[in-house]
Amino acid sequence: MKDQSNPLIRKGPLQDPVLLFSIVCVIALLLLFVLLPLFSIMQGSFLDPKSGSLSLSAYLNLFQSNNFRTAFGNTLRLGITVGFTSTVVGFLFAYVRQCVKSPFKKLFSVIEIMPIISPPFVLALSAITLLGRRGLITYRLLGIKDFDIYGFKGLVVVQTMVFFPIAAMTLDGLLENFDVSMEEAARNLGASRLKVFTSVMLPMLASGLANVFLLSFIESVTDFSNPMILGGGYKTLASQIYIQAIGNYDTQTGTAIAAILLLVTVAVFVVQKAVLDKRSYVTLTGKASRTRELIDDKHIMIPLNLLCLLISFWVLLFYVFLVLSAFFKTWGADYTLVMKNFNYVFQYSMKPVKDTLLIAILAAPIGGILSMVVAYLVVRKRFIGRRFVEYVSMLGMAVPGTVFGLGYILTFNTKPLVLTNTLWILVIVLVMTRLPVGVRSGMSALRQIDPSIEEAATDLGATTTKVFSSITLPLIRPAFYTGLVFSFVKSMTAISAVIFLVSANYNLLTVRVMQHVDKGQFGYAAALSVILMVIVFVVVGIMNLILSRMGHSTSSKNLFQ
Amino acid sequence: MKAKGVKIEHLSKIYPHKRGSGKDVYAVDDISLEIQPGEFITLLGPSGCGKTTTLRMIAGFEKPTSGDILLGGQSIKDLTPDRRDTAMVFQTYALFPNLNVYDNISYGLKIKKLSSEEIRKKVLGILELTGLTGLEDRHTNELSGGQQQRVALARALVMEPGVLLFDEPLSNLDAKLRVQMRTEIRKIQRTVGITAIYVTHDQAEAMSMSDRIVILKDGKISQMGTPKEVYYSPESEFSANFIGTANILHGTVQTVHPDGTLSVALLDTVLEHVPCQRPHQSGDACTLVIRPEACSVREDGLFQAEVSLSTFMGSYQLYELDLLGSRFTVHENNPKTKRIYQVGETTHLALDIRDIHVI
Repeated sequence: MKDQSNPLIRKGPLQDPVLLFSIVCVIALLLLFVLLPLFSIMQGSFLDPKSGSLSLSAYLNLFQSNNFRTAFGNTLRLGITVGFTSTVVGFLFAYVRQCVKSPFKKLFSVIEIMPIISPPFVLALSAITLLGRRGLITYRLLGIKDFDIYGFKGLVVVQTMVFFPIAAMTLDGLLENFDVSMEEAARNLGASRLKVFTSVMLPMLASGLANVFLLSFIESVTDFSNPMILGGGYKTLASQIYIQAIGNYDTQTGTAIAAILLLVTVAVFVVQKAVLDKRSYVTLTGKASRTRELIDDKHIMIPLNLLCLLISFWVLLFYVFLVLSAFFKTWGADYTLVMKNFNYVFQYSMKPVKDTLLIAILAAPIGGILSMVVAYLVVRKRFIGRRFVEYVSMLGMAVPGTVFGLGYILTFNTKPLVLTNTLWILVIVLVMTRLPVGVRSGMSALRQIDPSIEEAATDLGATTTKVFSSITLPLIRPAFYTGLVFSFVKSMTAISAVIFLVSANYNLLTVRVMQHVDKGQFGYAAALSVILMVIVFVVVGIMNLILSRMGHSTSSKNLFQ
Repeated sequence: MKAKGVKIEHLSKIYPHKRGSGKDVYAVDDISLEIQPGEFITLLGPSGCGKTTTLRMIAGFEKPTSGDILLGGQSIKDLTPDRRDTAMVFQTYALFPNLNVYDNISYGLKIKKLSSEEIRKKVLGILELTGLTGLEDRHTNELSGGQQQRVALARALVMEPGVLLFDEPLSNLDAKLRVQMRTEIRKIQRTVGITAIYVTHDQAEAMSMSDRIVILKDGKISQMGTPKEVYYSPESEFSANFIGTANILHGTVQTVHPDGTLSVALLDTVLEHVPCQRPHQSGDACTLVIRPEACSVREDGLFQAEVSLSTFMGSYQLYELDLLGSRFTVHENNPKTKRIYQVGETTHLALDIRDIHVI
């Protein structure tokens, strides 16, 4: 492959003030809002709060504490289990979509999209409604007393439902590019369908599957809200950071746990990167030579379709009952549908609704533009610090939200830069946590553009700025808009980082939901979640409408490939 | 349009060695070259010979390690690509997919801040010249390969640059269209009178289009001259083989005649009065280049030969002969009425001494 960096860079930043300015700005932003907070975490974990001297006491205490060792083991066990289940279910959905005849593909796509655009904790809320101690299914329907959804099993079920769609979409892309002729060659040489699947497809996809497993693992171990709601006695590291630092005012322990969790996720992320590099021989075969003949063999088609349908209905059930539980009169006892919960939240929670919208509307375009600028610099320009920009902007992918949140509090609570209690700290943390996804999609969009198109523009007399605005930006516009929609959704539904940063001045919907859950007010929590989802659906709908009028189609799918 | 001359002085591009290999890569190695205003010059060579790197250094996309590039007498080495009076036609065309034909062609003019009146006039003129009239509102993906090629050419031409650069512009077209486009490009270049530097690895393209051909090998100029010169008087085995097909035979100089011709011992005979441009001394080993179409297979001739391959190619009969152990190719033109020799037959190779070129 040709060197993707556009050689007009040879021009060098020094000759181009705009370019120099953007590079300096990006580096400053990354230092300040990605590295500095992580540094604060490290600093906090090594500092004795009483004497202010360097000490390992926090780590020593942690390793001696049973509590921590259990939480550490719990986190890994949950991560590995959910990594596995998400990959299996995700592969099932991807395989059915790409390789099997099915009349339900529209439904399956909806099921894949739902968990991605709804707040991460709604399925946990429904899980309590349906499967809790007084759950509709467990208690009412099956009459089981004291069924315990809280803990490991509940978390596996809910996290799998939340994280399998991302696995499915990633694998979808892999299968789509899988060259059919390889399968045909195997069939031609006498292999049965099963043999082709096990001897050609699975080995070729092995690294892709490993990659998806590791992604799901990271999702699971960094998940904050589900363990908070459904964990019960099953403690995990991500939630312990919050509980220690905010609940127990023990910053040192909080930061030490954060540092350890960070170590785990970064390590897995590095492994995942290596796996990803290895798989290139699958994706580089490029577009499949012909469209795939979908499997219509009834022995395969019917069971696979049934399985997917079953899972789909299970997911749908959770969403339906989330909405219904917002209308229940007394949660867990009286299932009459009333407006009481909505009346309450309309009265007391309109401020968070407005704040959330405002912050998401600010964060989405800022994040979108920043991602594209970073992607452009990294892919097309050569400058000192390019690797730094690439790696640090991607680092956010491996940093758990809770670690970010805690780092921001530690960093921006004191001079010189006090941002806590402001609107901007929320906007910034949302921009920075979403940056990796945006940059990645920007980079892949840019890499599809022949660099000589930009060279041609330069050759015709355009400056770097002119090339970017007149040629590059219009060409990556679809990725930009998709990123915009996605980043809006994620800003509306984010919880793990922002929960550290809300204040009396600015509260967010998701945090408000968690506060209700904390007090056992599940009805209010459900009502607020419904409002949140309605806003997201409406805004995404409007954005899609506008974009399709403009001739761009967006799908959250693009972001995961 | 003012065509400008291009002067390349000791131009080099050295890529520092990658870890492990320990050797610097000389992509372009001390090339000097002068191109006259209005001249069509082709840089020809196999992949990796440095032809594209040279072109990209002229355009400003690569920075030379050393040496200088002058355009119209002015050094342009330190100018950024957007400030150079060059326009390039890219191998992949590099049309802007977000703009239509008109906007693609007018892109550079708008940056020059010409009035829209003037832009319109120029664009319409160039559309007519390149045979694109009526397509100005088309999107680039609604054009055929040949049309895209024309738009790329028009977009570069309309800038009225001092020099026009072509980076293998025809390599993405099918064979028929390639032949048609090369005549057309040459015609337009002549009409406009612009200086053109054309990079290709296709020797037929180079022969049919150029005023002069520069053959590059391993970053160095191997030979430079008109198409006729490089074809009939190759200075090296490499040039002889790269342009057209050639039979290469090794002989020994026996005598140097006062008129400059040589007697050369070759195989089992001595050839008398072989023309030669280079000084030779008796006893020297020499290389003889003979083009396959300059010979014929007959009952009588200079050398006895056995036919090892005989294939009908339409316009000629292709023979491969075994000449006392050396392989020799002959293109017997218009074989329709000629006697065709079959594989295994013993016959003779005939050729005119004047068609032998001695290196």
